[in-house]
Amino acid sequence: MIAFLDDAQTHRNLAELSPGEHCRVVGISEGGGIRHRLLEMGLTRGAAVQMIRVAPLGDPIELQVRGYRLSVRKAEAATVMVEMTTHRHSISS
Amino acid sequence: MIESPVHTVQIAVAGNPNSGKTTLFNALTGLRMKVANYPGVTVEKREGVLSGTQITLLDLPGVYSLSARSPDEEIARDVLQGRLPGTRRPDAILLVLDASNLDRNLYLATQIIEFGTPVVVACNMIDVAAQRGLRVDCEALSTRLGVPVVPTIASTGQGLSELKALLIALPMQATATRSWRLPAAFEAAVDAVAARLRECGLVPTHAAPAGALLWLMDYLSGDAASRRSAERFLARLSRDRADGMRREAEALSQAIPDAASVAIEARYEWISSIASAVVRGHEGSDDAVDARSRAGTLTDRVDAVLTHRVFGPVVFAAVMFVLFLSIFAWAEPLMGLIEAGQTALAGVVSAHMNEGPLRSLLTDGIIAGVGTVLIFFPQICILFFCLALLEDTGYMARAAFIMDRLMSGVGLHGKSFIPLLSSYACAIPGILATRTIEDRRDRFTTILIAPLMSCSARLPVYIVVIAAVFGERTLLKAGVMFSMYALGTLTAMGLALLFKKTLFAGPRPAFILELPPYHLPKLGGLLRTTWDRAKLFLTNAGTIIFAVCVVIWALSYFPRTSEADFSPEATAQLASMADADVGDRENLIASERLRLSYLGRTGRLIEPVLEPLGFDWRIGVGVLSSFLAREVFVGTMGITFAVGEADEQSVALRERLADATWPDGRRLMTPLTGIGLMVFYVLACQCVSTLAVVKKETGSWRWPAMMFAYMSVMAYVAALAVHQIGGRMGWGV
Repeated sequence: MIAFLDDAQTHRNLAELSPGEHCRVVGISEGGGIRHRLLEMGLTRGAAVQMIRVAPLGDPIELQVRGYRLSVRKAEAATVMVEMTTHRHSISS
Repeated sequence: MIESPVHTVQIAVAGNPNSGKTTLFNALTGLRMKVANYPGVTVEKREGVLSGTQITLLDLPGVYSLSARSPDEEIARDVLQGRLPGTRRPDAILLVLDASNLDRNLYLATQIIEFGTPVVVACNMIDVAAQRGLRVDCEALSTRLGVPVVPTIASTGQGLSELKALLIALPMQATATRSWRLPAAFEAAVDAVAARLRECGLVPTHAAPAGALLWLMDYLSGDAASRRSAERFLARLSRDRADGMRREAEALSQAIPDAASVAIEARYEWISSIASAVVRGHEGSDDAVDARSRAGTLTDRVDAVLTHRVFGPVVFAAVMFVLFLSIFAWAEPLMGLIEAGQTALAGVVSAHMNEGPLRSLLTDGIIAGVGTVLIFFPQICILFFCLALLEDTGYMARAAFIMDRLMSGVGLHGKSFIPLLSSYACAIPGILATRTIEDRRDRFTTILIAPLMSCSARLPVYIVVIAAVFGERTLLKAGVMFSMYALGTLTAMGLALLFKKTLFAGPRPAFILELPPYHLPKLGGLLRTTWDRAKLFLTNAGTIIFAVCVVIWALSYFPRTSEADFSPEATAQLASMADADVGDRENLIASERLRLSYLGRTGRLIEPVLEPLGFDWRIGVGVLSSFLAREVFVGTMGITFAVGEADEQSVALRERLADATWPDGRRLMTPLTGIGLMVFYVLACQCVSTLAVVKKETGSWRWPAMMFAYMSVMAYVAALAVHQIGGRMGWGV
C-alpha cells in the first residue's frame, strides 16, 4: 500500500509534464494499435523523454525521444505512464 | 507478374521519412525516372536507373515500420516480400538511415535486414549528426548489422560513388538472421508459422522467419488495419493452413498477452545496445544531449518563434496567406494566358474552316476541352511547388502541429488544414494535397468536404448575380459575398462532424507526427517533385475531364436546327430585326439553337423541377452546363439571354439579367432568386474535374458518385428553402 502511494507520487503521465521536464517511460496503459505505434516510434519502457513544448492552441505537445522530435496529442500522451527524472539520472543508468 | 525478357537488377530504396531517402534517390538516378501510382492507391511509385548502369532503383514510400497500418507501410512491405502484383521482388535493398537519429531508423532497418535480401546501408546525413555532436562508427555498425554501411551526405554527394560501387558489386546471395531473442513461447510460435509459410511457397524460404514474425505482430496488434492485412494474407492460403496459422497466433496470445508489444520492446532493447556501441555522443553513452538541448540547435531556435504561442500562429497565418495568394492570384496571369491562347487558337481554326459540325467540334469541343484541363495547370503547379517547399523545409509538420487543435474540433487532423485552405482557390489541388494525410477516414472526409470551399470558379457567378440584383449597394454586396464563403465553410465543418460520426465512424485516429529538423531545400528537387505530380494530374484526371467536355459539347450542339425549326416568337423577333443588326440576329439565333439542343431541351424538361427554386429554363441551362465546370455559367448565360459573348464584367448581361421576366411578366432575377442561385452554386458539386480527381484519388467511382449526390441534393434543398421560405415571408421579392 505504501509502495503504491509512493508510485502515485512519482508516476505521472506524459500529458502532465511541463516544458523542459525529463522523464522515463514506465509503460503505456492503453492497448491496441496506438500503443504499438507509440512503441514503434521509440516510447518503450525505460526510454528517456523530454517534454519540449505545447502547441500554440494547447494541444498537441512536442517531445524529445531517442534523439528526435515527436508530436502527439495530449489524449495519446496521457496513456504513457512515466517516472520523473532529472536528466542526470537518465544518463547514469 | 510480368517478367521483362532481360532480367535487369532491381534495387528498392527504403528508409524512414525525413531520412534524405528521396534526395539520395534523385542523386543516384539523375533525371531518368518515371513516376506512377501503385495500382488502386495513391502511393507514388518512383522508378529510376542507377546512372551509368542497367540497375533500376525503386523508391519505396518512407515508413517507420513494416507493420501494415497505412497504405504506405503496406506497399513498402508487400514490395519487399515480392507480394505486390506488377512489381518484382527486389534483388537487393538500399537502406537509408538518418545518422542523427539512429535508434528509430534502426527499427525499420533491422526489420528489413532480417528478411535476408541483400542490403547496403547508406548512413546518411552524417553532417547533421556531427552538428549535434554525434559520430557514427560505420565500420562497427556494419559488423553489428552484418551488412555493408557507407557514410553519406546525399545533399552534397559525399559517399555516393562508394555507395554506387557497392550496389553494382552487390553479392546476390542472402543470409537471414535475427540477432535478438524473443521469449521461448514466442520463438516457438514464430518457428511454427514460418514452417507453414515455407510449405505454402508464397514466401522465399530464407525470409519465412521474418515474415512469420511480421504476420504474428499484425495479427495480434489490436489495430484494425493491421489485422485486415494479416487476414488478407491468410485468404491466399488453403483453409487448413490459414486455420493453422490462426491457431498458432491465438495460442501465442494466450501464452504472452500483448505479444506484439513484447516484440517491439525486445527489438528496441537490441537496437539500444547497438546504438550506444556505435554512436559517440549517444544519449546512452554521455551527456551530449544535455549540452545540445541547453545550447539549442538551429531548429530549436527557429521553432521557439515558429511554434511560439503568439508568433507561431502569426507566422502561420502569413505563410498561409502567401500560399493562398499564390494559388489564387499569381496563377491568374497564366490562366489568362491559357484562355487567350485557347481563344486565339479557336479563332484561327474558325477562320480557316467552313462552319459545320467539324469546326464546332474542334473549337468548342476539343480546344475547349484541352483548355478546361490546362486552365487548372498553373494553380496545380504552383500549389505542388508550395507543398513541396513546405514539406522539404520541415514546416508542413509544424503547420499540422499548430492547426491540429482547431481541426480536431470537427474530428479532422492537423494535416487537413492546408488541403482545405487550397480548396478556396480550387478543389482539385486541394484534394491532391490530402495525400499527406495517412489515415484513410481523415483523408476521405477531407476530400468529401473540400469542394464546399468556395473556389475561384464560383467567384464570377457571385459577381454577376450580385451585380444584377443588388445594383450599387457596395456594403450589402460585400456582405452577401462574404456570407456565401461563410456558408460553404460552415457547411463543410458541419458535414465533417457528420461524416466522422457516420460514414467514417470509429476510434479517433492518433496524431503521431515527427517534427523533422528544418532543412534548406534544393530548387532542383522541388521542381522535380512539382513536375512529377503535375504530370500525373494531366495523364490521370486530364483524360476524363477532356472526354466529358466533348460529350457536353455534343449535347449543346446537336440536333442542328435551322431557322425553320425556331419558335414563332423567335421567328417574329428575327423578322422584326433590321438586316443591319447582324450581331443581335446572331445572338438570337445562337440562343434559339441552344434552346432547341439536347441540353436546352433538358433545361426546359426540368424547368418544372427548377421553378420552385425560382429558376427558369435559361438559368436551368446555365446550371446544367455548369455541372461540367462552373466557369461556363457566365458564358452560357450570355448565350441563353442572347447577349452574345459575356464575362463577369459584362454590363449587357447584368442589365439583361436584371430586366429578365417570366412569360407572365413577373421579374425573374429578384434578390431572393439571386440568393437562391448563389446558395445553389455554393453547395452543388458542379465540376467534372473535381469528380474525376476524386475518382483517381479514392480508386473508385463510389466516392465521386456519393459526393455528387449529397452535394446536389443539399444544393437543391437549400435553394428551394431559400426561395419558398423567403417568398412566403415576402423577403426580397
